[in-house]
Amino acid sequence: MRTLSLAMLSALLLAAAPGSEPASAEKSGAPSPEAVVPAAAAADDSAPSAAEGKEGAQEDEPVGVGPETFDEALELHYGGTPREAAPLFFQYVRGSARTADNYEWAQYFLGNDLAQLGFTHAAFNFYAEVAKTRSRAEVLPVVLGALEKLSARTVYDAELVEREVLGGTDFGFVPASVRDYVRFHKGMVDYRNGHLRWAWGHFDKLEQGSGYHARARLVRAVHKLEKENAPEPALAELEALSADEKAPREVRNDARVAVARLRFERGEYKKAHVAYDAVELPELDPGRGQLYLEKAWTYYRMGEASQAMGLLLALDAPSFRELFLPEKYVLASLIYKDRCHYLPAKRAARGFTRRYGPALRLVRERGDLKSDERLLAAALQIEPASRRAGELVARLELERDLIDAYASRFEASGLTRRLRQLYERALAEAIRQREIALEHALAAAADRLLREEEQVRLLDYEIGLDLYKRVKKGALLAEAQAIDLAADEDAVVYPFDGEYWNDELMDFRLDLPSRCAAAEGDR
Amino acid sequence: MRARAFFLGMALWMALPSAAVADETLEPGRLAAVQRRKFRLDHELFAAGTLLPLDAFYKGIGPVASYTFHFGDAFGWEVARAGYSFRLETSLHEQLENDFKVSATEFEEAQLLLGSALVFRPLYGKLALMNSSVIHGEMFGLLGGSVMRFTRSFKPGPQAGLGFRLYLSEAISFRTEARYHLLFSGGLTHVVEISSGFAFNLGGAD
Repeated sequence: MRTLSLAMLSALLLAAAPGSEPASAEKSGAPSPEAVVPAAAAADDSAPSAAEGKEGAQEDEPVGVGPETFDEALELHYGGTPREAAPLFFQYVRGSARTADNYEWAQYFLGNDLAQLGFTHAAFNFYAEVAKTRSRAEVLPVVLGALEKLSARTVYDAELVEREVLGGTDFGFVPASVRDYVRFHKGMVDYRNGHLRWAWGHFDKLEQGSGYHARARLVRAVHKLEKENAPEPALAELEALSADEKAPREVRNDARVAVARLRFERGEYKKAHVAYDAVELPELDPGRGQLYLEKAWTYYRMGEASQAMGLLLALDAPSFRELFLPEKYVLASLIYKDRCHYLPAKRAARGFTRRYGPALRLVRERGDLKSDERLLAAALQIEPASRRAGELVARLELERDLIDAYASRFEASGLTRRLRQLYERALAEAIRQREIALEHALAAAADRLLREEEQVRLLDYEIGLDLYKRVKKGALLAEAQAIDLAADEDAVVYPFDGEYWNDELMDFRLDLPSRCAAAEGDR
Repeated sequence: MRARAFFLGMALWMALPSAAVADETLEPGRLAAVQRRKFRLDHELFAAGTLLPLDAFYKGIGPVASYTFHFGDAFGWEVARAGYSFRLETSLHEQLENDFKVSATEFEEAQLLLGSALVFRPLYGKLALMNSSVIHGEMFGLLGGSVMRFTRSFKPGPQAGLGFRLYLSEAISFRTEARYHLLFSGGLTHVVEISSGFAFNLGGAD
């Protein structure tokens, strides 16, 4: 389990690096209408736009538009009516030459309006156009800021944004506000491509104490651990990072989880427990189910079965019910067995078979793994790449369906058609990527299931042996005694009545008296 | 016969483990969320507005303040509580004075409130506010004694009350309570008092 967890952390770092410091793009960087509208568009602005690409060629001949279209669109944009402004901006982009004065601004504002309406992928595309062509120095920082802001709040096409735009474009001078964003992603692209020297070069230039700097430190620490097999320096760096108040919360949390996992691997359970407890969650956030399971293992190893079992039962809460955590059955069974609750121990072990029986049959029959819903859901959960690919497909489907809501309004400008083409193409590619990611993830999920099944079988057998085993008098009685939940006078006890409160999940405890004395007496 | 006895014996022997685990058919243990109590009280100062609504001839309204020392999470002692009641005449009072020429001195009206009480706080819990946040609160009971100065006399007697508190922070809470005073001097006098205000906790919070 632990090795897998470390691999997951590493994969997470390598697969995705969401922006954490959204810069204010529109408020601070965007020009006012007056500043944006410069000279009139060139006389030949009515020429078809090259930006249309292949699909543009299939559209109706663009109608020549003048600067007044842009002015009108801008007025509508600042008037807070993106649904009116977007088709006009698109009309302007479609009907203007790429050299037109406001061409890039129109693309940028079109992106803003589309993002506001919920078409984030289309917005990324228009931002990407501006960033890649970088023909106007004054627009570039604004667009990069918009990219950073938007990518911090939604799932996006990493191939387009990170590889093509940020990794593959030489921006020349980049203003300080977005410099770290660009450098970090350039570094990540190089890192993923195996160009470590270039990657470290980019990371070294990041501003000390910034969020991206913290991210880069995390990447380097995991690299030390995974690739350089240097756990000590990696642990020291991760601990420093987890205590760094300047680092973004998710970076600190990732570092704390990594520290906890390393400590657990070394058998330093108390230190692991402290690191897990240091993970900060927003109020009422139930947290990550995987961490509950890991904390439960830590408690179990510390001999605190009551807390361990409490966390395992918290995993039955609606927030976690669909998570793929087959190991929880093994741990629950172990805890019951240790306290001589043999039937519940067997029930817990068989809970695994009940839940994953159909998936296991499919694996053994070498069937189509995707046809099992649980297995598919598991594959989408356990590997960051497949999870991200799945989220992107879901997002694109949502946005594609949203086109219908604006179809008639956007029709005349040709924006509807453009959006449909954009989303069909993006969705096809995203589905292809998801299938590739899924293939690997499904195999990993099936592998994990088979491993756990073996554990469960072994445990089931051991429980059977324990059940009939003759024991020396007093041997089992010495096992852990039940705890008194109300013993701590600083504590307040909320007995569970079937209602899960998010703020309580981490504090669940099962007062599980040992039956070992009774079992001994029975024999 | 002997064969039947043998098989019966065998069956009993085989059933032994089942008997041993017969009480395990239900899920064992007791599940509870055990949390550190978020709000604790120690020295509490209470400042509130109070209303005496029971008398048909006048309604009393005024300020009230108290100091309570909390021994723990369940018991406390409201060491001192004092308040003043301003008179708000009712239409019935005016009618009696105007139509029936009843003298104003005929009406005994509470003016000064003094008291002390034991506080019992057995109920502490939380409420989900629109599923977006959790607020903590408690209910408490009061039992003690009072002395009230009326327009013409002092009247002592026991008091009992019920109240609830919503914690706004570790230091400040909103508290509402209703008290019933049974006063003895010159016949029985019943006074009901409803107070609402803010309590300030000094120390004790974690």
